[in-house]
Amino acid sequence: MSAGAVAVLLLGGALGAGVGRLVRLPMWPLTGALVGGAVVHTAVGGEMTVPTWWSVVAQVLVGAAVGATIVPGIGRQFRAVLLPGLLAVASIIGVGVLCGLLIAATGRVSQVVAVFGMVPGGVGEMVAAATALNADSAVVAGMHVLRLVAVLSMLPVLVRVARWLARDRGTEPEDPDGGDAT
Amino acid sequence: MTRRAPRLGGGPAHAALLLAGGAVGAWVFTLLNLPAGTLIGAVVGSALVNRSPWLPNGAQPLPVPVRVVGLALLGCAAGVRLDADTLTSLGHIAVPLVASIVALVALDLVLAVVLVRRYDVDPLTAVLACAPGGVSEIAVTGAQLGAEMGVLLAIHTVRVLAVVLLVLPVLVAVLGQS
Repeated sequence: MSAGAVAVLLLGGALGAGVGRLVRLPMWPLTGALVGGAVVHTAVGGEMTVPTWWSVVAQVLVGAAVGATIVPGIGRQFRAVLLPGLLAVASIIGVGVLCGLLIAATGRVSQVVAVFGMVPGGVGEMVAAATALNADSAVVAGMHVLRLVAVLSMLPVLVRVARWLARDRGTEPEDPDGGDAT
Repeated sequence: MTRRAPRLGGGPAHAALLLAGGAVGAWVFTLLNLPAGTLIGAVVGSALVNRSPWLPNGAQPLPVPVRVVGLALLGCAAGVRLDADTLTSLGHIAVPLVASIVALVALDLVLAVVLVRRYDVDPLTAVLACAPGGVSEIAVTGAQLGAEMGVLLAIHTVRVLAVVLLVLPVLVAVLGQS
């Protein structure tokens, strides 16, 4: 990707995030920039892939921000949920594979595309695996992007359910719409 | 186990140290070829630096704009994957795809209820820990809302590790023959 294309994409993402904030999109920095990036790609056309450093910088910024919020006790938390966590993970992956097989059964996409598009693992790994098997990796990536957008959009509702659960237990989490909408 | 991040961090020098720690952690984890190594390494590196006893102001959060810029860059990277042809293909499977996403979200709630009721995990953490979203996005949401980050990162890291190390090789072997 040329320096000009990077600049245009940055501008499009920033505009998208700004509009997302104005219209109060859930997770506006992410979802707004996603829409902005898609609009830029559609307008420019052709192959458009962000350079590796782009993804690395993004992950370091987000990772460092998350790491700075962690206080002592994380190891104990990890051990406390190891068994239920494994069961949850097995269920999520199993249902993801099953959904992929059911989508493939419609005959509209190949089994490889459907399964790799629905397994909730790393997007990069799934796209790479689909590419290795000569499947349509763009559709696989698109399925993951749509899942991501759908889940992020539903997070406020999910957290409201969490609040309902919390009320049942006598505690209450914070309102996701109450703070800075990141 | 986590605290809600205030709007301002501990100053530019502190922020630079945390980002440097995150970058080193990301580099080390990537060298070790760990799945999602860049993100998890940055989390670990930043957390270790932030807890260092030689920091003059103690542990401080990063300024909010750092997280906003990171998320916007992630959003752009995802957005450029979508074009007209891809959207047309996705339109052909829209109904089963939406149904599948709804099924995964419903499963999220069921698992969250189990974690809350049987393992005394706080509800917000339980919902986010079982959400079928990206690790980066869910982690930053959890950090903002005050979820138990140990639980959250543990379950999502195990999910990605299980997929990459166990499920993916099996799927490649099975689907590659079909």
